[in-house]
Amino acid sequence: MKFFKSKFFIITLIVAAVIAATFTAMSLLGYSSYIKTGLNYLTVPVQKLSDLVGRALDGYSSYITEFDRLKAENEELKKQMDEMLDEVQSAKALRSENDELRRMLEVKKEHLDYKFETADIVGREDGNYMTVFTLGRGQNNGIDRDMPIIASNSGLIGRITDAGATWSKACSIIDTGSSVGAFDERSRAAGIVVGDYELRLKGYCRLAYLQSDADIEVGDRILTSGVGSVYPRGLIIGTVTEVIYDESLRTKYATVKPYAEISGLSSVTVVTSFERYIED
Amino acid sequence: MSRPGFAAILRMTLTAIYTFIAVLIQCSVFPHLRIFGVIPEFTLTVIVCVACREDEKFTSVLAVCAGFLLDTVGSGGFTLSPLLFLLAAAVSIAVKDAFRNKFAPSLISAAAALTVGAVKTLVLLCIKGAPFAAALAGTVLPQMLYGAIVFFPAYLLTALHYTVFRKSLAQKNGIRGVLNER
Repeated sequence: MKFFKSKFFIITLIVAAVIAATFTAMSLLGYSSYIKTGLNYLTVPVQKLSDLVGRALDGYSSYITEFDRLKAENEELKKQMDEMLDEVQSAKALRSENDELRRMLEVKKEHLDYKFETADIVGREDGNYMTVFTLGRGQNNGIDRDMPIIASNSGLIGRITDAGATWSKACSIIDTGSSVGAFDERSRAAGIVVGDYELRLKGYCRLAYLQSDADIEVGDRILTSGVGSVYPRGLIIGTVTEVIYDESLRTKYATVKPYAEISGLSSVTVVTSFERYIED
Repeated sequence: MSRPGFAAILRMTLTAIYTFIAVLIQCSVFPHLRIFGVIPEFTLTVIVCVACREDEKFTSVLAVCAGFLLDTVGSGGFTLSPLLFLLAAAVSIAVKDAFRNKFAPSLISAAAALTVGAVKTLVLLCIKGAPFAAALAGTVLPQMLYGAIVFFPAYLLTALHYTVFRKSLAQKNGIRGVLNER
């Protein structure tokens, strides 16, 4: 306590009080002192340097005080992002559906005698190329056995093999049990498109039972012939990718790439009614 | 100039620089490290810690200068820090003789100084029209809390600073200083 009574302390206290009073009064009256201005000239360059350090540390304190707020904000943003992703996803689905319906309308305009029933694929066999799948609609919607199914681009997919009240099973043209009467659009050469085990894995099928002198070329479009009354005449099956002549059997066959994208289907169109083709 | 005298001057010069850096840190670094929206009284805690180890007269002058520098560099309109810092240093000087170590007087002085600093802030806020309760809960108490947090690094930094000058301090303070240092 001796220091409090010392002359030095009392003088320093008075000086400090005078400084405080003078500079506060000057500041309040709007006069910026020369000493303050001069000091700022001296300190500002150093202050800028330390400010750089401060900027580098900027925001770290928020980890302590604003953790809960940031966590809640993060949760909220995640929720919003999920909602937006859902919206984007549904918008994409709607656009895809819209495109399919638009293409279907074109098909309908081309084939006025066709009656359609769209159905979602609700089940499929495993593997890259599904050949048998389950549809979510059945006899209640007018779908029955041996009705052809087509894709939105009017490419042939296959036919209904079994039907219940609310479901139906279908097999595609690349399935080994499938056979479709077909002909070459360019040369009119007739044959039968059948499923082949090895080609099935690639998503292709085979145009077999061709005449040995049949005029078939790579790139030719293969259409349904309408023979057998399961498929209407004129549906696009696919395009010839390879022509092979079997010397021993003296037959020619071709590999056909289906026009419909069979592996990526989510819904199909069942042709429930059409005018039967009667061969002359 | 004899060797102890030179060491003391060097010590005081470096202490002054150390305090100057503390002022700059408070004005430039801590505004980026606000907790609960407040800046701590870092310089005040440094002055208190220095006062427990340094010469009384030098500490008094240093406290006034540091307070003045802080109010000048800072953007506040009031220049009350010289007075506050001097009082805080005086408290430390008065308390340090009662203890054998440096931590207890530093802590007690810092607590007293932070309380006075908080009162100063409260008075200034109320003068500027802030509601008393809001100023107390929103600024003054967080400022005290943050000040208490920064007291520990300030104490350690000051202790580190004086470790180099332990011998010159012992010679200056005599036997009492040696005991205190131990």
